Formats: sequence, C-alpha cells, structure tokens
Amino acid sequence: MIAKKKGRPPGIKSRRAFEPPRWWTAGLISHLAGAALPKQINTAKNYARAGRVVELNVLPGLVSAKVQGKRKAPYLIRIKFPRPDDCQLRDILTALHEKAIYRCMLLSGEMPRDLGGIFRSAGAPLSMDGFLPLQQMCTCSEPEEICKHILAVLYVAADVFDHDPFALLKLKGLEKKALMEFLCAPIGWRGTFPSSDDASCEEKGHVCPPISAQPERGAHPPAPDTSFYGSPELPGELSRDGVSAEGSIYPVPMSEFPMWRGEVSFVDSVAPYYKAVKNFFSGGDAE
Amino acid sequence: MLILHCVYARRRFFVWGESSFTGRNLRHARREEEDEPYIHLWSAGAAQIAGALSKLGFKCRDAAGCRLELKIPSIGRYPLPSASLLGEIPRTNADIAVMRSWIAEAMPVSVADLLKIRGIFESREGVSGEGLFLERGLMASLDFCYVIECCAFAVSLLKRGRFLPDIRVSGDARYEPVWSPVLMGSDATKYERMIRMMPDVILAQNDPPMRPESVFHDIFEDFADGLVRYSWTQRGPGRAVPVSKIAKAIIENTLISDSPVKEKKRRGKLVNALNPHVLWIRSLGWLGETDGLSQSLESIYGEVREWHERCEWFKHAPFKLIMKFEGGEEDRARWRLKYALRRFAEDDAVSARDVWNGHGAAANRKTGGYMRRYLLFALGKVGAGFSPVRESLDLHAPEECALTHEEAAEFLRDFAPELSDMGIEVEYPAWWRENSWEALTIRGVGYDENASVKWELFLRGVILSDEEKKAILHGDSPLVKIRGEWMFIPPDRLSSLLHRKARLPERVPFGEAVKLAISNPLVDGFDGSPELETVYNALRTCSPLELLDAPSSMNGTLRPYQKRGYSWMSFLSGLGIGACLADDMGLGKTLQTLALVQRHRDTGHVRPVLLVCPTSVIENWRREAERFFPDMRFYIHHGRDRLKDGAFAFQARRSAMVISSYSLLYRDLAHYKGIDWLGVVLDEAQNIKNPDTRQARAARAIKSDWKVALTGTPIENHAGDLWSIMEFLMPGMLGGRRHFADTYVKPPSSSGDSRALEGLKRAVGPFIMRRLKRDPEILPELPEKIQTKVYCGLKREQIKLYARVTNELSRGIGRSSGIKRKGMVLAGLTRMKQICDHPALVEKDDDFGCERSSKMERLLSMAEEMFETGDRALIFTQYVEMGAILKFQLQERFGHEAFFLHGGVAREARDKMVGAFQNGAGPRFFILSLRAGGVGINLTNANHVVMFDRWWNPAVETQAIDRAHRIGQVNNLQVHIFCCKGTLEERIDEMLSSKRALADSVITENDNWLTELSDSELKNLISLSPKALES
Repeated sequence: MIAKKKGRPPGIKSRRAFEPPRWWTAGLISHLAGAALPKQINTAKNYARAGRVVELNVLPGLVSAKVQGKRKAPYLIRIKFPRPDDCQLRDILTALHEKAIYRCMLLSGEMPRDLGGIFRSAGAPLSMDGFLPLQQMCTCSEPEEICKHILAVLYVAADVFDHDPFALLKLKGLEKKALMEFLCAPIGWRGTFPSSDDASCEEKGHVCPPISAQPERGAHPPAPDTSFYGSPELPGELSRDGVSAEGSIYPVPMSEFPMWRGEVSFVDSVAPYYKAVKNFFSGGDAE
Repeated sequence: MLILHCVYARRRFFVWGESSFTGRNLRHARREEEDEPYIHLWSAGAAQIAGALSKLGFKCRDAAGCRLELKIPSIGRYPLPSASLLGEIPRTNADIAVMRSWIAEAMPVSVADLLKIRGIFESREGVSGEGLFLERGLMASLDFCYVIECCAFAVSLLKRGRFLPDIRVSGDARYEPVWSPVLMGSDATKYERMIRMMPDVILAQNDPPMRPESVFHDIFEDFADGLVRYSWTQRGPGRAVPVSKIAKAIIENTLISDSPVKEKKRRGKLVNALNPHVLWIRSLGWLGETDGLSQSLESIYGEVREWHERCEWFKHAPFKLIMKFEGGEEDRARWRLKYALRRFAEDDAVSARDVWNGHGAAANRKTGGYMRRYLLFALGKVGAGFSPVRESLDLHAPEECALTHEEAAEFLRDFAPELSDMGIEVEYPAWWRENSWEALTIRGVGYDENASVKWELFLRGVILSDEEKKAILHGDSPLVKIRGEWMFIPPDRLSSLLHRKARLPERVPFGEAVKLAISNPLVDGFDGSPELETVYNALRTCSPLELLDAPSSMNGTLRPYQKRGYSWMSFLSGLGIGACLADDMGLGKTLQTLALVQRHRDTGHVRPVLLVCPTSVIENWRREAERFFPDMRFYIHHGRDRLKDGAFAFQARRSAMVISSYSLLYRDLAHYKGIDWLGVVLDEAQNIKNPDTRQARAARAIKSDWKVALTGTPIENHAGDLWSIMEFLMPGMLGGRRHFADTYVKPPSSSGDSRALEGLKRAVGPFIMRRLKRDPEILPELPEKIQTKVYCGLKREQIKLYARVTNELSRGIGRSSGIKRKGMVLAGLTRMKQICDHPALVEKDDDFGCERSSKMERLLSMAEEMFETGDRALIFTQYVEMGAILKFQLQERFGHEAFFLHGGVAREARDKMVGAFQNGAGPRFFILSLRAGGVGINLTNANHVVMFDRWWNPAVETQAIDRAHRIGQVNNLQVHIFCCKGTLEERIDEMLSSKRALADSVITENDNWLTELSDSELKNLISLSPKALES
C-alpha cells in the first residue's frame, strides 16, 4: 500500500501526533490508550513515528504488518478484527442505499457521519467496539499479549484509516471497488456483494507522470519554412471572438479531497483562491 | 517600424524585436566574440524594446535586458525577415533557407506583464498576416499575438474556474505546487488547435529542440499558474497594494508569501510545516521558489494524483445534469426543480426516475451505473450550495425538490446562472426572461395642447395598474403573477422607476417632450398622441419626418440619399436634438451640411452657424460652399490676421456660417462664446473623441440651438470614443463619464459584455445616421466616378524652399534662352512640385516625417478613413523618392505592407503585386509611379485613386485613373486629386481645366508647352500666393 523510499529510513511514519483523530478512528485511539502501560504506549508511538512499521496490509477482518524490531528480520504481525457477517452486511448496504446523500459522499471519497449509526444498528459497530481486536499475533518473543509491535502497528493503522476511510471499510468487508459498484446500482438491484479475503484485489495507486518540457529525443529542429513566424491560419485563430465557453459543458468537480488533514476543509481552504481569481478577472465586482 | 516578438525559454518569456532596415544595415554583420554567432542584422536594441514596452504601458525593471541566441531560418548571409514591410534582403545565390544562430537583445517579461499587454491587444482589432498593428511604427508579430492569445485562453479558463491545485515534477525531479488548467469540451479542441498553430519562432531560443506539445503545455501551465498567483496577490479590499510594487516583487522574487505585505515572517508561523496538505495549498499562493517543499509535496503526490483522477473521470463523463424549473400552474405556485440527465450529443433527456430505476437509456448496467454515479456526484455538488437540493438527497431516489416562493426567486436570480457556469443546464419555464423587468417602461400619455403630459408605467404596452404595483411592491418575492402570467420583477426596481417617474416634468413643450423621450433610456415613447408618436417613431428609426427639397438657392442637386440625410439633420436640429452624420467618405457630408445651414437660413433664422474642421479641410469647405451656394455669406476665421473681438462679432453675426479650425476652437473660445449661435457643426468629429483635450472641452462649452457632428469613421464601434461625441451632441444623455466607462468600456480583463454594448447602440442609434457606399440603396444612386480636388496648404519650411526656387528661376530665365532656358525651367518646375510633395525630396535628407508636408498629413488622415472602412486605394506619384516616403509612412501608420511599383521592380514581382492586390488578400494601398508601371495593368480592386501630385497634361492623369476604372469595376471610384493651393499646382490646374476644351493643341503630350511660355507668363505661373501658407 505504501511504497518504500530510498535514502530514508524504511517504513511508514505515523503522523498521528499532529492531528486529532477523525470520528471513525477516535475509538481505536482511545482504545489503544488503555490497552497497555503508558511506558509501553510511548515506546509504541515512537516506533510508529520512527517508521519501524515497514509494511502494512489491510484485508477484510485482518491487518497484517511487518515491524522492524531489534532482530535483523522484521517481526510478522497479524491482528484480527470483528467484521459484519453477510446478514449484517446486507443490512448495512441496504441502509447505505437508503439516502442518496450517503452515496454522494462515499462516491466522492467522504465518510457520511451517519455511517457509524448504520453499522451500529446492524449490530456490527464501525468505530469504538469495532476496533477491539479479536485476536493478535506477533513473532517477537515478548511475554505480553499485546506487545509494543502490535501497538505500533495499530497506531500506524489508525493513521491509514484516518486518511483513507475506504481502508477501514475494507477491513469491515466492504471492498472499495465492489462498494462503488453497489452504490451505483439501480434501485431494487439484487446482486450479491462480493466479500473477498483476497489480497490481490488491493488497488495500486496509479501515478501518471506529468508531461514536462524535457528535451525529447528524436524531435527535429523546426524546418526552416515560411511558417516559422506563424502559419497562415494563425491570424484567423487569433481574431476569433475570444474563447467561447460553449460546448464545454462539464463543471470542474471540486469535491472534497478525500484524506484531507488541514484545520479547514479542503474546499474551504482553496475557495479563497477561486474567489480571488474570480474577483480579479471580473473587474472586482463579483462577490 | 518595430516588430515585437516573444520567445519562450527556460520557462520565461522574453521580448525581442526587429526594426525596419535598408541596404545600409546589411553591410556589416557584427559579433562580440570570435566564436559567437553574429548579431541579428536588424534586431532592436534592448533600449528600443524597453521604449516600445513603455509605450504599451509598463516600465521595464531592468533596462539592460539580456542577450538571446536565436535559431532563425536564414538565406545566405541574412536571416529571413518576419514581415516584408521591414525591408527586403538582397537576392543571393542560395535559395534554400537554413537554420542559423543569431544574437538578439531581449527584455524578460513576466506573466503579469503579458496580462497587461493582453488588455492593450484586446482593444485593437484585426490581426493580419503580418501581426497586430499597435501604434505608429510599432507592431506585434504573430508569435507575440499567439502568446497573448495563450494568455487570453488561460484567463478564459480561470474566469470559469477551470483550474485545480496540483503538484508537478520539474525537470530536475523537484516536486512543485502548481495550478493546472482543466480542459474540457471545446477548450480541449482549442488547446489542440493552439498546439498545431504554434509558430516555431517561439522556440527559437531552445537548444536542444523541443516538441511543440510539451512547450505549449509549459506555456499554458505557466500562464494558468502565474495568473492565479498574481490575482491572489492582488486580492483584498480595494487592492491596497500598488500594481507596480507587486510586479517589481514578482521579478525580484522577493514576494514569497501569500499576503502582499510583510509576509516573509508570517510564512513560517502560520503554516504547519509538518502538514503537507496545508503546506501544499498555502504554497500555491506564493511567488518564487518553493525548493524547500519538495519532500513534503512528494509525500502527498500520490494522493493528489488520485484525487485528480477522480476529477478526470467526472470531466470526461458524457452526461450533463439538467435542472428543470417547473410549477406555477395554479396561483399557489408549487415550484419545483426536476432532475434529469442529458447524454452528450443527444437531445432526449433521461429522467432521474429512469436513471435510478435503470430503465430506458439507463437500462444497460454499465452505462446506467455511470449515469447514477454522475447524477449522485452532480447533485451532491449542487446540494452543497443550494439547500433544497441537499434536502432532497435524504431520499432514496430523489427526482425533484420542492421550492418555496422565496427559494424559487433565489434560484432563478442567483443560483441558476451559477449552475450554468458549472456546466449544469437549467431549463427555465417558458415565461422566464432574464431582466424581464426591462419590459417595464415609462410612457407619456394624454399630451394636450397645454403641453401637459402624464407619465405612466407601462408593462408590455399596457399601463401598470395600482393593484399590480402593490402586488409587486408588497409581494414576498420578486416572482409575481400579473395578468395571468408569471414575471420576475424585483420590488426595488419598480420603486426606483416610480421614483424616477415622479421626477419627470409634467408640462413640457412639444420639442422638449420628444427630446426627453428619445434621450432618456427609461422612457420609450408616447401613447394616445398621434403627433408625438409619429415624431418619436421617426426619430427611433433614424429617418426624416418628411423629405425636404434642396434649398432653392443651391447650385446643383442633391442625390436621393443626400436628401434623406439633409432632411434628417433638419428634422433633428429643428427639435434641438444633436445629430451625427457618419456617412462614408465621398458620400457628400459637406454638401448635406451646407444644405442644412441654408435651409435654416431659408426658414427665417438669421443667427450664424459655427463650423469647426481640421485646418487641412478649411479650403475644401470654402470651395464647396462657393460652388454650391454662391449666395451664402460665410466667413473663414483662420490665419494670423483673423478678426478679433468686436470685428469678429460683427463679421460673425452677418454671416450664415463661420468656418474655423479645432486649434482656434479653444484659443478663440472667448470670442465664440460671445456669439449667439444657431448651430455648431464639428467636421471630423473624431477630433474630440478624447473628452479631456482642450478642443473637446471647448466644443462642449459653446452654446447653440442645435449641434451636428460629422465623421467618416464608424464611431459606434468604438464605445470609448462615443462618450465625448455624444456629450457634445446631447449633454448628459450617457450619464457620467466614469459610469459610462465602467459600464461599456470595462477593464480589459472582463471584455465581451455584448449585452451592455447592445443597449448602448440602441441608446445612441437615433442620433447617428451612417450610410456606406456599398449599401444596396446607396450604390445605385452614386455615379461611377466621383472626382474631387483636395486642397492643401504649404508648411513654413515648404514656403521657404519654394520661394527660394521661385527667386532663382525668375532671375535665371531672364538671362538665358534656348535649350538652357528650357532645361532650367523644367528643373525648376520639377523642384517646385517636389517641394509641394515633401521637402525631403529636394533637401535629400532622411527625415520622412509627415509633419513636414501638409499633403502627406492629409493623405494619412484620408488613408485612415479608407482603412477603417476597408477601402483600397491606388496612390500615384511621379517621383520614386516620394513613393518610398509614402510606402514608409503608410506602413508605419497601419502596420500593413504597402506595395510600391516603380521602374526598379522586376516583371515577376510586379505581376505578383498586381495579383495580390486584385484578389483582395494583399495590401490596401498600392503606390505607383506612372512611368514605371507602364500601361496594361488592371487594378480594378481599388475604389480610391489618389493623385498625389499633378501631371502637366490631363491625358496622363486620365490614363492613371483608368487603371482603377475599367470594366469590371463594381465599386464606385473616388478620385482625389491633391493640389497645393496658391502654388503652381493650382495654377496649372486652372489652366488645364480652362484650356482643356479649346487648347488641346497647346497642351501636348509632353511638357514642352510649359517651357514655351513667355517670361511673364512663367513668372505668373510660379509665383507663390500668400494663401499658400497652411496656418
């Protein structure tokens, strides 16, 4: 899920210390605070911040991770979480489909506030109790049931859930792609929701390399011809009546940035720019 | 001529330039270092470019500029000039152009500078194949225009909010915050087109070469990013920070933060450097380097890309949300918005119900899924701004939302336009009209013989009743049902109308009533008073109430359209309403005006009319008046020995017309103010287009019963110039100047408010009559050929030179005879004619200034009118040097090549010129030297012929005119024969016209007859009359 970078300590650095948790991870954080001795907690937090967690996978009902401990080989950690059964899942999905606003928000990568309630009334809490691990396992030799490695993984996991609520939904058995498809389904659709334990359905972040003005091999110098100073059609193009907005019918979707972490919401923090531009180019009379 | 170019290199813009050159410039190529390329032979120096840029309105921060190495296609030892009007490179053996490096000086410019230049460009029209003419001697090349167009394109996207925050990876793997433009629909097509059309010269600096796609991507991104940041720095109440300061900071990279003032300190404090999201968004407002952010930005690069992808998906979705405004069937409105989707390029909308249920067009699971996703997304977005829509989203499958009365009004007035901006289609009800309150007007009713009139509010031609008024004023929203129909009328609009109505006078004389109705935009006529209605309608349609006959004392006839123009002016002036006659050149504005003056005389007015015109046409007015109205008493108030005070007043009062010039208008304003004028006429009224000039202020200061403005240029197309002229004609009608400028002549950044301009045109329409020669109703009324003489004076310098030649010649001829005398006479006469043309011809200097010759000035002002109306002209001169001066001046003035055909032009080139001129693509002006051109060329595409100097025999002139006037000539041809009054030109002209009939034998084909005149005849011919001096 998160790639390693060269030239820096490997692992996932938790940024937990800087922001309050989102409502859906608040349960996990408060649960963690009481799960061990304060000293142990601090060590775990330091592990998390230092990037000792070198790998983390979220699967339905399961978080698996590797933590670099004192030994050369990293410890393997598996933490099982409760997940709704098929019956509960159906209730949840039905409720999700109930209001269009839930679908709107989820499709643009936001968490509807009511989601906690929906999960709770289906008997499978999303937050709070939903984070009580059913079973945890670490390959280290420490005697505690919950060792600092497990705690460190949970801190990093909280961080991931904070940023990507879909990771949390996946943990609950609602895999993103299938969920999206379900949300777009027509009314009365009776398909089955694919529950998957397969790690292969994990999505890879697709990164498009931007085009930049690098010299390109194989590009030829401009042929010296009469169009060097401008082609004959250019004056026609230049004397068109401005640039018409006609035909360009789609709005730029300024949806919430899904994993936004500022004090002000994403849309609110970019809005001043848009306002400034609008004011500036419409002669200052717009407001 | 200086042609500015723009080069893009290393993500910066540079302006360089080419200036006109002659063979002399080409002799020596220079270079500074042995191993460097040569300096571009005719490139402009940095100081020259800085000067040109300062003419465009901004100062260059660094006058030294920089040096660029440019790769330019070159032939032999010369780079190819970008436009032929710069000059011609000598022919060389090499005929294939190769790329060679040249050094040119350049000035770096910022995106904000280019934005400013864009404003200047927008006010100019007509990009030609050579570029855009900016002002005398200054042009922008096509590539410069192209860069400015990129800027305009970026601005158009920004205005519509088509930009998103982004992160880009720079060439050296640094992560930088950037605003990236969003291209959708027709924008994407335009983008592709722009890439295809990029002139290579923009890339001339780049080494190694780059692909146009990537360069355009960079240019466009730089504009979008730079302009967002620039507008960000300019935000805030009242834009407290001076622009120059900002611009300075931009160049010096000192302004690194998002607030214009003292931000350097705050940057660290306010931004949580550990939160990359916040850092990203904040840094999008900074100017300057963001090196330190690279690592933080890298950490969120993936997230940003993912978010962008979601946006990409949405923008490529082939659907469009439709919101259908319904309701109002019964009196209890029940307004609602129905949702639907329209598939791109399909007419039928798919209802939200079908989309949710997967029926109809949404039956396909995949397509249906897309549509539902789109609908959800779009509704979510609309819901964020408009709560009724948001509330509907609490339903399982929302199909519509209900609106209260207030919400409905709010939606129609405020929110719907915003939705259209977002690309969402709003289907308005049939009754909805934007600005429907404009249907509310004030009309006068019950005008009676006591001149009392009642002003009433009308709605669509019917008086608005008190109940209806009450319904509007006291309703709970601007949506009201009147006469069974819904209307949108804001109560404050109605109350302001009522207020204004109350201020209208209740008793007005007939003329005043009409004047009020025509000049007050709120008042639209009269009801129930046939007389007033007729007059009002005639005024509105710009037609005379009745066609008048030409004054009986007129020596000649008026053509039908002239009769209409003259009757119309009489009609308006009789009512005391200002009129602007804007006929094309050559349609006889002078004659119509003279007829108007005579008409007022004939109807019993004894007060004089003041006519103000440019100095150069005073003589023409005099001659026309003498020719057509020999009995009219007029007085020319001009020259050093003009009358003063009492003598002036006496003379003025006993004249029908006083002719004077613009310069005297303010100098002798005190004199003019002392006279009780019947009317004031401004010829070439564009002279007062700038309301701040002394002459404009003086023109407004003179009181008279009526006013007339004459102009040959289409003034209604230049909104900025209109105010001053209208203020002269109808003071106060267009409101205050600032208000006018704000409404119609907006800052360049928000052009294109065509509706406001439409309103303006409608408002001034009744006062401007403009006929074109090519109008189908005018054309048949015109003769095929109109020949006019254009009389010019001589400048002081010309007089001095002329007198010297006269003295030498009259001394010389007495002492010599035979061949020697003949030669002396011919040489002397030639020099005199040359002096009349331009002193540079005899002084053999390089100063081609048009202020040295009044013929030249006159020609340029006429050429301006021809240029404005799209006419084409042949200009004949006998002297090759004069041809060169004409070519130079015309090119400097208009930025288009002017052809010049003389003896040195090869046959091939000659045929090319003639071909280009004939097919209409070539230049507007064609200068010919008759002897060199020979006979047999066909130049029928011209509709003006200018004889810049006189030939000694009429046959040659006729032949020249025939060039343009042959079979196939579809235009009417106007022949302008230039003549310097008081000189031998005028005298020869008199001799030619008096002798033409009887003495063809005397005036032979050649000039011999001149040399055979007797001494006294000759002396009489060449002597200079005192009226020759121009001013």
